[in-house]
Amino acid sequence: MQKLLVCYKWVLDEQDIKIAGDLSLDTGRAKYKISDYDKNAIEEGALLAEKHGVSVEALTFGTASVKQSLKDALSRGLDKVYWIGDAASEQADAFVTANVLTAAIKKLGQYDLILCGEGSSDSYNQQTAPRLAALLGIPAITFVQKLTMADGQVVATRKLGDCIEEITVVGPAVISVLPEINKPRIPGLKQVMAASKKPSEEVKISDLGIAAEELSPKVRSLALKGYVMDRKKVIFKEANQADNVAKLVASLAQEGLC
Amino acid sequence: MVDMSLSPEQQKVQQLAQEFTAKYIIPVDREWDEKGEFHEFILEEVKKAGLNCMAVPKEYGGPGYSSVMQSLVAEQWGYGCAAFATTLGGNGLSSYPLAIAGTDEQKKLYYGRLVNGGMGGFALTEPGAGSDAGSCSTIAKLDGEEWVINGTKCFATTCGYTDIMVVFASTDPSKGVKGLSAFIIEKERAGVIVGAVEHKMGIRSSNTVELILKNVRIPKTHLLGKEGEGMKLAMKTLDMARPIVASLAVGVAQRALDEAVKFAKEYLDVNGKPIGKHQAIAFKLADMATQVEAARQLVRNALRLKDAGVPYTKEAAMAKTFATDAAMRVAADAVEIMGQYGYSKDAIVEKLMRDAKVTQIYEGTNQVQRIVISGILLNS
Amino acid sequence: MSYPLTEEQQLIQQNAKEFALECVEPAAAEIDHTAAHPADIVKKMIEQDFLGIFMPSEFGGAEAGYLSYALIIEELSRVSGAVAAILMNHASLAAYSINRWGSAEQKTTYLSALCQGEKLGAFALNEPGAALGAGEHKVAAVKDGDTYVLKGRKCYVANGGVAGVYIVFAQTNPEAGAKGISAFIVDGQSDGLSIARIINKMGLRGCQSAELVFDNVKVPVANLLGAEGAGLAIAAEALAATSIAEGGMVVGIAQAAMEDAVKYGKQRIQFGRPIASFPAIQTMLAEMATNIHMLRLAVYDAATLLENGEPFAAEAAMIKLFAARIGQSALIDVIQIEGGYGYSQEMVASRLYRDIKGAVIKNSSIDFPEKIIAGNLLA
Repeated sequence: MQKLLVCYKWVLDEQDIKIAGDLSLDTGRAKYKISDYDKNAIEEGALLAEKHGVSVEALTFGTASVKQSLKDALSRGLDKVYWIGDAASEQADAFVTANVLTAAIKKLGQYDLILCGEGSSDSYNQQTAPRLAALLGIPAITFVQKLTMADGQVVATRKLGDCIEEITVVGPAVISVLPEINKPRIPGLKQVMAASKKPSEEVKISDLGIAAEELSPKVRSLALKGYVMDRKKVIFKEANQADNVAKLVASLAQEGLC
Repeated sequence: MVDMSLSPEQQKVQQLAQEFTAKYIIPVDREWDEKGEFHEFILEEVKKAGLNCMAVPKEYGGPGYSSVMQSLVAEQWGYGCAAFATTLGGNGLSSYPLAIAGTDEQKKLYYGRLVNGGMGGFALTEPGAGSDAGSCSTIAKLDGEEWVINGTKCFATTCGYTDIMVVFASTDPSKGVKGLSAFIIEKERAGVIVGAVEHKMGIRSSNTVELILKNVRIPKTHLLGKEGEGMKLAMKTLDMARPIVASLAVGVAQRALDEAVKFAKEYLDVNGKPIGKHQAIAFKLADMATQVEAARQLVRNALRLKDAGVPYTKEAAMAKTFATDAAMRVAADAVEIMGQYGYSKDAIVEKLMRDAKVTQIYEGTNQVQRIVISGILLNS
Repeated sequence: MSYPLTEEQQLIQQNAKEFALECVEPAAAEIDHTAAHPADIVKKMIEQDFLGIFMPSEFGGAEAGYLSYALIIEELSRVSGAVAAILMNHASLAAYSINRWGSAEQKTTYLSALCQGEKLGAFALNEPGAALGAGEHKVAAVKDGDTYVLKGRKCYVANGGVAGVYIVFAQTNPEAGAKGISAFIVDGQSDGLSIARIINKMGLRGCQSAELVFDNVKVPVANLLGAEGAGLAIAAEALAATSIAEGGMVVGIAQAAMEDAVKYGKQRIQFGRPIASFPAIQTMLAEMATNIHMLRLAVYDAATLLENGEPFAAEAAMIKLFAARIGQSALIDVIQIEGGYGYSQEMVASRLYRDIKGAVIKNSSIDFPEKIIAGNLLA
């Protein structure tokens, strides 16, 4: 277990997105961030690297703006970041993303462990990790809430619906992590300032030899709308509290709620 | 320092209040603020000095002070401690409705309690009815010969230990503001419950509580004025009270000014020169002093009109707005001039800055005052 | 706002915001209530490399620049003025002075300790003749061989009692008046140095303020900072550098207050509508939003000037002048908007009101911002 790779996604910060009256999304003022659970994946990689002296690099596929993520990622304990900035990512579904990442990983070399977040902050498909593993011909271990490394082996603890499963992994694997696996530390100033001195390398899609149909998404998004909870805003203000309670119960019953 | 432009009788009252303040209030103003309460003896002393029920007319056993005299005393209280002034002011505020609309019996009852040293309370505000005072949800229902009152009041000054209160409740919710009526409620009535105490940033020794009224029964004769005329009564009351609030604010401002001037004379810069000799400071003090004096004169002006029997609502609102804004500004400026010392609790000015803020809010926010003033200007 | 922050500055700002919300905000009310120095938070700030933000890496600093520092102060101030004040007094008064005027040995001995958080720094500046009736607060420094002996008192020392390094301003030459004041680096553990009392303040209550007694404290000659008589010039520049950070504090506190007022105004219904819909309220909000925006730009600009080694004294004085004024008016208006509720101790607005006043305290024995600005214009 010497070389770790973390895959992360550069996504719009959902907090900045405004929902217009017609439920359309206004992303004009939205900034980008590293997807939340990917931060956990990066942190896990960094922790393993600190503890076991292994190397940890990162790979990201996004639009040209993904270049802005590099210092952020590098400030979190990574040795190097590879980035693919291509318009193909705009409409990319998990199929395309997995194809691109796989092609890049095959080109970059052998990794012992590939870490991903369980799902991305924007679409949360949870498909990338299993697809990646299938294309690389290695096991995918999902819903991981704990990872330990010893004697060249990795033990992954999976949080499933009604039980906890412990798996010992020998050989390369793709691991997707849950947010409970760790609490990402806030990078200190020195780490941020040192980030610009760490290496980053662009990988061009055109150099990866991916067939056109592999870059064509199988799922097309028709519309993306905001969800707003409509509040009824009814106030019961009889002088007698008992009357208010009766009115509330009657109103809930009318809604079929009790 | 007694104002020589006042009549001898007025000067006497001013002096009395000044001496009381210097003897009993200023030595402990800091302590009261820390504790959040007065020493109990102070209310006894105020009663002894005859200053606890200034607004009660002579025929009901009170000193029957004129508005100007009440204002002079209020200014001295404000100079000593705004919390104290607010508390004593509550006696005046709550007794004005009696002067406006009380029957002889009601006056005897209410004024009698105050003259005996009891405190008066004025409960109008509710959680949902602040500036929108008419949006009242406390209800009064007639049951035979009694009114039954239910509801919750908040920010009720002194009501933690008042003897008697004027409380506003709706006798006809369907009429909104025109359904509001005023009632006299003695504290000892069953169902009068003192709720949570409000912990405030300033005027900390003024008692501010939630007042819960649970099936409080009072005689029919405790309705003050006519049914549905509560809002009018409240507005007239606030009119009368505004110059008094303005006066206490003038007192706060004057205190802040005096502290700043003293500091400017004594605090030396690195060259050994008192900082008051720097024009930046001197001019600022001049502006502060002008604000204080202008505020004082606006109060006198409003009272002059009142005593002449002419409408004074606009002028009272102007006086309240200007004086409280001045108190805020002068107190903040004093803290600034006095640097680190002014910001610490070694000095009194940081308390003045915390106290002054509430005067811009209570008794009608200064925004509401501007609505009153502009309303009169634009509707004439 | 389109101010061109570098990628590093943006990351630093983001991280500081996260740190403030996660590690400082939960304790902010308690810190104000107890007024106790929050040692655990200072420890976390050390882990984030906050104690030597703009100091050279040679001495353990992060070399992140002065603008990064201003950004961090702003983010901390949004949640706790007191925590920001602790950092500010340490960084742009104490550490700044040693970095700027210290000898190589002084930097090695003291600056490293400050940058790495082994010790906190404080400024013990003259407040002569404060009207406290305890006599003048002057400290005299008399040379005796290879030591100076310091005797006297200092009042209102921020970080007093928790600092390990004090920059003390003492009179070395009584005849020369203002020109006879010198600066000394004094170890907090020095014999004869004691705390007379902790001072209770209106706000910024977690930033401990103390009165210090210097009872024949011996300070080695090697600890004279700068030349004899240069004390006031040192103080003036360090105070100017700090004015920029104070501006950042005001921006942070006022921004938090404004957001609180907006939140309140949207949900407080009177006269059948949210009070935020009333023009009077909107005017107050618009006024403070404008002022905060302008001040923020001024702070970023002055910080950049300092970072680039350009003259910044006039701009710093402008910030001091403007920040004092708008900070105060913003908070007066915020409490006005929140009415009786805002006035309660339970609400955050009342703490912000008390804190913002302490963010910009003029030391009128030394600096008049108007004079500095006018002096610059008329030169």
